[in-house]
Amino acid sequence: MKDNLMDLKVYGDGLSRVGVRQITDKIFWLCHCIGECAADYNGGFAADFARVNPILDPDASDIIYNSFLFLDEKTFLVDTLSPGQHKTMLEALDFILDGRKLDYMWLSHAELPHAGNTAAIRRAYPELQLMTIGDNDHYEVQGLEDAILLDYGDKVELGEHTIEIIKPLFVDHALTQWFYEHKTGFLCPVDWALNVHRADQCFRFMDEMEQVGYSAERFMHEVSTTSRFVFPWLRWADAEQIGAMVDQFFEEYDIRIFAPSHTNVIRTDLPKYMSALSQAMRMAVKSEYEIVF
Amino acid sequence: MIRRVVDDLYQIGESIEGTDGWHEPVRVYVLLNDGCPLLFDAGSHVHRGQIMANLRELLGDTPPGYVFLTHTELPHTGNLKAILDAWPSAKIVVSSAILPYCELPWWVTEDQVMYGHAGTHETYGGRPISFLDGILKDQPGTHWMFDEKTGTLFTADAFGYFYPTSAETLFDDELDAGVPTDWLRRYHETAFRFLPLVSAKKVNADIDKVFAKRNVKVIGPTHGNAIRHDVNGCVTRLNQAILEICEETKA
Repeated sequence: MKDNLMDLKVYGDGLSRVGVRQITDKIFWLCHCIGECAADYNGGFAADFARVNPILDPDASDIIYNSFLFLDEKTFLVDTLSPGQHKTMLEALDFILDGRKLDYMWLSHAELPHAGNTAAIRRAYPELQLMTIGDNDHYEVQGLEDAILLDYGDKVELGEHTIEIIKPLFVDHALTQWFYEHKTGFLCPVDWALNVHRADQCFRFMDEMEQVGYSAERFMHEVSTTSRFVFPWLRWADAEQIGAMVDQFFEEYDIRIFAPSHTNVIRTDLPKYMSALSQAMRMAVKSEYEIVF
Repeated sequence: MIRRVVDDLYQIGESIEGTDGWHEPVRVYVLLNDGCPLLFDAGSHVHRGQIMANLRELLGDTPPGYVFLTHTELPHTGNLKAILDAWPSAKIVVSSAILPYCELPWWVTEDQVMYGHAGTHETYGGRPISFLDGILKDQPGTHWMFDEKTGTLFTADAFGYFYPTSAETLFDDELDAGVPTDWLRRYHETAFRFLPLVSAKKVNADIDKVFAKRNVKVIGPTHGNAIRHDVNGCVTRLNQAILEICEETKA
């Protein structure tokens, strides 16, 4: 337990640990990262990133894996974390749900860090309805043959909260969807905007990261670098087109909580961070890519 | 179904028929490799029974030495547990770009995993396998691999294609005019949703660099049958499919 993060509750340790933070009175953040283990297990990628961009922190080797839970009239889980956290994820869910059933499990896309506990959670909550994006085929090979198929623009009413399925700007896996929640301005842009942190910076909201030396400028440089790995197709894109696309997206959505899958949740100073993100994407497209052909 | 591609390279795995009648295959490639078989991808859990039966028939009493994963999504790893339960001495080889504690099943132990680094080649059971970045991919930790002995490039999702029922077991030389552009396009526009945002010219230039660098005699896509006859023709048709997806979607 970190004594300066008053509401933090952590389940497990090492490679399986899951932290729980409360974002609003009805939205919870379930966060996996490995803290001190990152130096050994994450392969020194931070040092590699810092070689590419010396502004980056060579000791920031830890990556966040996020899930979110809405407790409304209906309960709505966003992604599952990965199989390595199946026990701790179930413990954390049990704690937050406190005897309530889980109504919906929404999968951003069918990769293990996002959907790898689907079977375990379904066994624990057999009444839940699984949700994935529609307009595809061959769902069996993804293990999604009985999922509810959503279309862009569909809305899932939870009670006070309305989840709107939106078309992602940045995709890797084909079955990727984003969502925007209207009451809170909560945007889940999944793999977009991946940042990193040091072992002494775990489980923090972005405003709490600033208390330990982080900044929007650091965020911009990190995302410009990590995006080259997360979305390597950016090297084939046009920087101004991508930048304009991002800016138009920010005009369209009133984002008040920015909650990707691999980023510290941003709940304050949104304009500052969204401006940094817009710039980061332009930088990512223009960067040099080291590809082994 | 077991099919011999070339030399000691075999293809197994089944397909899923979509609601529109087009099939998406999920293949596993096997290099028998004179006593130390190498598997490339593990196939879909949907096809577990058939894959395991085919592997037992093909391998006999010889356990696989290594299971190379192009990447770790379910269609490529869904049958991994059955393979390792049957042959627990097999090692898994994944891209050095993945984080195993989040991108592999929880029951995989550290001593079962080996890493392939892009730009290197290693010898597995006496067989040189080289690693390169996955050029066209839908998961960051995807790598392509090259078997120098057969000249086979294992391309993960790239070069996949959907086909009608009649082409279920056919290699490119058994089709009237190779794998049609339309079949490649159907798959790639579904699998790589980012293509409308990119320059086809740049994508195709990168793909061409891969083939300029090595003598590829066979392409082994996970979601297609092996291309063993007209590699250059297939690359040309993929180039055209990419062009159509990128440009027509923008228009």
